[in-house]
Amino acid sequence: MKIKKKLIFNNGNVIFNSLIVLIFLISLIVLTSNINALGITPGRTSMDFSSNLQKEISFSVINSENKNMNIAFTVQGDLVNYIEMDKEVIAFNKNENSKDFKYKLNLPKALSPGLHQAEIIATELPEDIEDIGMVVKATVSVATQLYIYVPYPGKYIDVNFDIVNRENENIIDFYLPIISRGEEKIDKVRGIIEIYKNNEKIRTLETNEISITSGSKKELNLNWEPDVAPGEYSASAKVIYDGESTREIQKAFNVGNGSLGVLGISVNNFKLGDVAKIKILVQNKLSDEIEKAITNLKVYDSQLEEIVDLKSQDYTIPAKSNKEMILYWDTEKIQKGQYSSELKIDYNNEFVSKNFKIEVNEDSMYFSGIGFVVSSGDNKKISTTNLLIIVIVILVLINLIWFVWWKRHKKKV
Amino acid sequence: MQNKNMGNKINSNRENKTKISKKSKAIIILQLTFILGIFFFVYFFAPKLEYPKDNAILNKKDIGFKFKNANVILVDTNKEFSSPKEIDLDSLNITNILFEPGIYYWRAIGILKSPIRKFTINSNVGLELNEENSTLKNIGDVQLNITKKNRSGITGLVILNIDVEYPIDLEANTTYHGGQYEN
Repeated sequence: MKIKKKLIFNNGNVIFNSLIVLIFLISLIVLTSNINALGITPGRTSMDFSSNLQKEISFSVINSENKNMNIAFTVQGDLVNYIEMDKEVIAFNKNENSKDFKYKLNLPKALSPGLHQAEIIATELPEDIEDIGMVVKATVSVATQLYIYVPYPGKYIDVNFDIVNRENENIIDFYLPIISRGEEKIDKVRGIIEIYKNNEKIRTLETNEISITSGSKKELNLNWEPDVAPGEYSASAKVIYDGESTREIQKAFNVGNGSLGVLGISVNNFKLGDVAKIKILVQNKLSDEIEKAITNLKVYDSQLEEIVDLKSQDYTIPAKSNKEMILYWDTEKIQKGQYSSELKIDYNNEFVSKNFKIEVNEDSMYFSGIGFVVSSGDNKKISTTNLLIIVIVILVLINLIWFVWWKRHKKKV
Repeated sequence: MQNKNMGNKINSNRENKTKISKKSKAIIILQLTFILGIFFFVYFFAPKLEYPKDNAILNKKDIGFKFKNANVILVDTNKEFSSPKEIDLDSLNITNILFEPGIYYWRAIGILKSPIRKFTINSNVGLELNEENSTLKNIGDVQLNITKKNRSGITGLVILNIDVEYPIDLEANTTYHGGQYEN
């Protein structure tokens, strides 16, 4: 019995010692945890070329890890000779979340047509080092870019291609945002969009025709009501302008409802302070199984500060069937009230995203308001404004009629 | 007697004319007042845009639009408003709207359409290197073009989406560089 007690005592000692070593190791790991993180804003400043332009451009470096460090600035790119940075190295202390800087841009009289670039690079250095060459470990750098566009002689267009599927209305919107980068005005600009299924052209669509002045931005758009079977298609777009043509841009898109739909989101038997089990009911509309679908819910408070970022496990959703995806939210530090949230489900290199309002009460949690951002624009209800306009128009009409009547009556008298 | 009657008629005509001209004046003044009233009504009730100001460059992504005398705002990426988003902040019961980095145009719609304002949402580039896990993570709000720079030169590594972690073979004397991706 005594031996057993001694053993227990010895075991306790071993456990105690092991605990101390473990705490020491954890502290060491925490204290020496090596995360290098750096931010910079804006990521890019774009402007049109202006001869001999002198300008100061501001940017901020963000001390994402709130730690003591040095930052070294370097400049690279074909505009390097036209950029001046006052400081090469600056120190951040852990209380400084961000610092603002400026660089001077002194453009020459002329540059060749097209895009000219520079990168102002901020590189993280350990706090006791002021020279990038002295850094022996791995480090990170981030850049704020400068894009200068010099107009092309004659006519020139830069184009992008966006496709939006209005699932509920069975309409595909094609957008071609264009920028006139040439020196001359373009009288006739139109877009041609070719639709392909399995590399076979099935439709050719054409946008309206517009004109565009030098340096300005416009958008060509086209609404297509697809009369083809649901599924994946590709579109190839090019812009024809005054006899010339841009490069072709290709993009894939889906016809019909998205392959994954969110049917509902709910929480049962909830009590504030507990871990809430959030059930998201999704529907796989495809005839194939969806593998590795992950759902992610970000919740924001009234100041739009992110308060939680929840992620689910991987789910496999059988073909043409519904599946419940589960998220767990520890509400211990959550107060009752209204929150906004963004739900995102990633699958097959695609994603579906919805916005919800969350009403958190002592014993309930409600999700409402799917897709809050946009109303379709064809809202036919009479608003207060419309009512006012109608009242003003009626008043003006009455006044006009009365005035005409009075003039005639006066003549008779 | 006839002369007296004639005199009375002339006087009565004069009185009538004076009355009519007084009436006319009053009516013209009323008309002017009405037109001015409408003008002031439209002026005071025309949408007034307060925030964001024209050509504002903003580092934050959530924008709290401030305007008067309007129900909804239109937001688009081009000033022709060819594909506008119509947002009714009141009916949606929200005050702020989240935007991706880019250039936007907005106007308010009330009795009249307000002038067009432009604002820019700056992109944030952020890169995190976790040496323990040997990963790089995009902590900004735009896609990053990641390159690595060491003694052998600059090598393209990966185009990294927002919030995505990317495993690397961590190398000493190497700078992992993140810049906004072309798109």
